[in-house]
Amino acid sequence: MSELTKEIASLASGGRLSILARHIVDGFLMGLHRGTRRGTGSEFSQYRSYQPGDDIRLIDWKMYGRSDRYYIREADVETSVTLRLFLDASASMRYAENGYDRFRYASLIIAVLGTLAHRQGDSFALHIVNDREQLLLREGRDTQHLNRFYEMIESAVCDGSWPGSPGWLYESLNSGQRELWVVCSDMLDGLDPWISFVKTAGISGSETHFLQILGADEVNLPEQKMMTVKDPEQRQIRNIRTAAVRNQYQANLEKYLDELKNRVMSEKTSLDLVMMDTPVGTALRHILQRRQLR
Amino acid sequence: MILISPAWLWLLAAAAVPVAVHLLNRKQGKPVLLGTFRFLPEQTFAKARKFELHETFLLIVRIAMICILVLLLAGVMIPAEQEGVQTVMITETEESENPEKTDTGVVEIRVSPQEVDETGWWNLVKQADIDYQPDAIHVAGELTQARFTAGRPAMRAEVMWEHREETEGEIISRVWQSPEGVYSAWFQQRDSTGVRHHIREIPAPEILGDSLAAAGTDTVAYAGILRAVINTDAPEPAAAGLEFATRYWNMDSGSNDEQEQPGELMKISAGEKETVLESIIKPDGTTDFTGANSQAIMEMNITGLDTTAGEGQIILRSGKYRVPVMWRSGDGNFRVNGEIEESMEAWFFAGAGHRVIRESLGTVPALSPSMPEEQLRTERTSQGRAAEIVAGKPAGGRLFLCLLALWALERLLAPRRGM
Repeated sequence: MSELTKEIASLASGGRLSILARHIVDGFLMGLHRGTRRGTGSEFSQYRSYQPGDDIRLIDWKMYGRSDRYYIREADVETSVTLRLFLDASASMRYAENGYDRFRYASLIIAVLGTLAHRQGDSFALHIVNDREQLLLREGRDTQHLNRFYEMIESAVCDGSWPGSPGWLYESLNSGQRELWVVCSDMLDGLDPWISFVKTAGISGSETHFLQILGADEVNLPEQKMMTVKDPEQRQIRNIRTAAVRNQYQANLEKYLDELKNRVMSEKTSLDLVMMDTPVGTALRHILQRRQLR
Repeated sequence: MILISPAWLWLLAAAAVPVAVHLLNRKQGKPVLLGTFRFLPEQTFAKARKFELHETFLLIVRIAMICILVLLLAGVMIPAEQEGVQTVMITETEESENPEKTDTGVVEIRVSPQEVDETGWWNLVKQADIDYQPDAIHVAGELTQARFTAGRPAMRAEVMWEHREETEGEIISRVWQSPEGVYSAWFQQRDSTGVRHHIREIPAPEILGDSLAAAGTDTVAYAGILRAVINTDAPEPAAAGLEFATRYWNMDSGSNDEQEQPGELMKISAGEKETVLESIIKPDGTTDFTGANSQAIMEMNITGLDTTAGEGQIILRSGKYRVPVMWRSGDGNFRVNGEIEESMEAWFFAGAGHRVIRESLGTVPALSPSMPEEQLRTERTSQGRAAEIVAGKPAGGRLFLCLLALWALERLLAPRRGM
């Protein structure tokens, strides 16, 4: 639990995202996948004879010295992956627990993933999204890109809800690159926006992971007898007596979550529930381990 | 549990405030943003009871905070644990020994007749009261009027006298007449608590000429006019004090300019006899009427009195409390030793004037006007309370720490509970 308290303290105190993310990545995350190293691969696979038009830089001169013929050295080039990160910036992300809010928690997850991708030389892109505006940072892989990435997260503002229609996504779809999509959200705004999102993700052929972040007090209402709650869009305020309300509330919530899972999960899509009091590192590690087993 | 100022206890009524806040606050919590708002069911349950009290622990903490604050303001003290000397027994014997302490909380003090002569009974008793703080003091000795000197001071302990001579009734010590023909007499009444003196008007007694004479064994009459003249140049406290003394004696007092001489404070004429209270000479040789706030010895010259009957010093034995005292020194002057506060100045002059008047009448220097009984009682209790407060330990420190701890607890709990 000391991990958790340290992380909560640093999240609640407003430490810089870049530093926190780097700390977690340095700490104990294993790679997303076996990434490429810069330059050409170094694992030898085979030789093939030179064809006109090949890049002459790939000619293996040792072989030429031996055989007086031009050969191209081929390596097991591992496929690189573009990581496309989605951060929900809707009003419901402002829900706060333990001194920090859900958006901050999600930001940290996103920042960690971005940092990891950068470490491994993969390109990554970021979408910060709600129905008012959808910010896009196009893919890149250099350090300047990483810094822009951090700045974009830190300056984001939460409002509105997840966009109902996925039109904003279309320009980012390119069937060329193999992409890995990760979505950090609470996914509480209703089923339909998410169903259409999943469909669009399917069109792009990308593997999609949903990280649904919820607070402990959201799942079970807190201990106090009376509460005054307001909805995320600030339109209503209600006074509730938690004991009387709890059962029905939890039933409703569970029903929604089950249905969400059913509609969203598929061969290429996974949905994981992350509680806000789990340390970010631990949560990600579990998810990644599971992914690597597949 | 002692309180320095119990008046603050009325503020305990403020403990009702958190109760009211808790009762009224049931609806207005700070609104918490809940992302899962739409999953809350429609409210179809019965309404909350009107006076439901939630967060009882927080309420108790807040009430405790107010109580401790009030106690702090009232100044709680833990009474000091005293070993409790209950009784001091003062016996007059031939040999004087050191005080012994017996196991049962009784202290015996033996005094010799010379000590009694030198110090005076009341001073001994007062010293014992200060030293041991007992509940009662028993005094056994040959109590004659001659040894019954000095003023009766206020004391905490009950004083019980066991004396051989049980005289009851009143004794008239002196009688005099004012110019209007009103006679006043000085009465002494002895009871178990000591001798009480008062002066009151009497119908015309038997007058024996105009000289001081004693008629009978316990009635003395003096006929003549007792008059005092106070110098107009005397400074205010001196004049006020001397005038008080003259009023007490029902004297005719006036400010006569023709008999003024520089340096005279007051002149008393009793028949043919004249007594003059003169100015004060400070140790540095300057002449001043007043010796307020001085730590040096003040001298007042008195002329016209029979100086052969001078007595020794009357001082308190060295105890914790230094009291300025006045005494007749060997050369017949009054001496005052110690600090005199400004507010006490007039009283000192009253005392000096009183003494001079008494001595001019030829009376035995005896008790100063006694305090009325009620005043003595209050004095006793307030001295007792004062002693307790001085000896007690303030409990304020511990209370303050409790208050801090409770405040921290309240601040921790309140936001969590949305109150």
